[in-house]
Amino acid sequence: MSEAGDQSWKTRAELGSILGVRFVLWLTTAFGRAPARGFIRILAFYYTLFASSARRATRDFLSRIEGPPSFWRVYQQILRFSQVTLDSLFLVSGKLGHFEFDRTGSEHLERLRESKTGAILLGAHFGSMYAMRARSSTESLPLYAVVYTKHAARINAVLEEVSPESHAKLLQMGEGVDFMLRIKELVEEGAIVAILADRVGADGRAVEAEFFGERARFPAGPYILASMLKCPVYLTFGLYRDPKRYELFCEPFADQIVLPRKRREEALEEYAQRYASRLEHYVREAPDNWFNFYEFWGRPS
Amino acid sequence: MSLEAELKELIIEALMLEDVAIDDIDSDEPLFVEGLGLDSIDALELAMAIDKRYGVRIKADDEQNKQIFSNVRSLAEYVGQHRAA
Repeated sequence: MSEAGDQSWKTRAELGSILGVRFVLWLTTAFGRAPARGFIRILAFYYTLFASSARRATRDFLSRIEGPPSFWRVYQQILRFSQVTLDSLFLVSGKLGHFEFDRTGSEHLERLRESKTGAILLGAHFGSMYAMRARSSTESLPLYAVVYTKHAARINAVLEEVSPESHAKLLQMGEGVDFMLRIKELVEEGAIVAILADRVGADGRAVEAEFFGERARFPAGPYILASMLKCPVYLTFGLYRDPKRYELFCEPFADQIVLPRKRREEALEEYAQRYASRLEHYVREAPDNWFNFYEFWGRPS
Repeated sequence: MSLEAELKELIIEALMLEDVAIDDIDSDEPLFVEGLGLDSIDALELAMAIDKRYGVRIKADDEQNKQIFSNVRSLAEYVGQHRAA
């Protein structure tokens, strides 16, 4: 498909997703989770048929892990994403009764809360970050999540309607000084800021790391930021297990990120590699939770 | 050394712009995107260096931030007004 074709698909997909999300929101409010889950099967099927670039990227990803996938395996991947997105509506509005949570490493977060230590959590577009946030709000953990509103503006608008209060804890990724200063102030006040560290952002600062046997680009920003703030860093992933279980993981990554002047690039690569290796470990546990629907190993054009 | 020159030195030092000299930076040249081409991470680094050196704390909710960080001249004006005498 040509570039222009891809562009127009994106516009249509966004329109489709906003209509879809609103309809699903109405369904869940009127009837609950089960009918909405039925409806998103149709949505996921539609996307699997027509979203050729997402389908291609998913085929490429799954081929690296499980071998060439069938159409239904690709569909399952897109369905998981739809299910996790649907669940985020329940999770942000605090309706946790639908779910079961398994937690590993939550003592790290408890310790941070008790000692009022600010920290950075590194996550990924993998499983659910909302599950982690939902649990944290029930335990009054000052957890903020950085979101890329450029891509998720519409979904975020809906989430804000569902729960204006919890939306305040989403930090919209910005390009100016304010966004970074805000993170700094939060961490200094003892808040925990979660950043998705698998997609290279608009600033384009990237480092390469080996991921599933091939070099891929990862953002350098989170490590540079953490090194400036001199705060501890943890990894966090929320794996979704169909139909209603979330497995939440938190593990220490570094007490402090140190980037020596003379070997800054190497140090960045080492941190990114450690992140990539741990991410790979968790992705192997639940490949169907991988929600990067673009050519992850692709070169920047 | 003038405050503007000091700040240029601080920018080069804090952001590790090894191949840039003080004279290369024009006081009216934009710091971000065009001009020096700094990004938001650089901005934070610079804000923290200014805090450390001059005790001037730039807050996230300051509506003037965009203006303050627009070039060396406006940055120097702000630091000059707010630093401890």
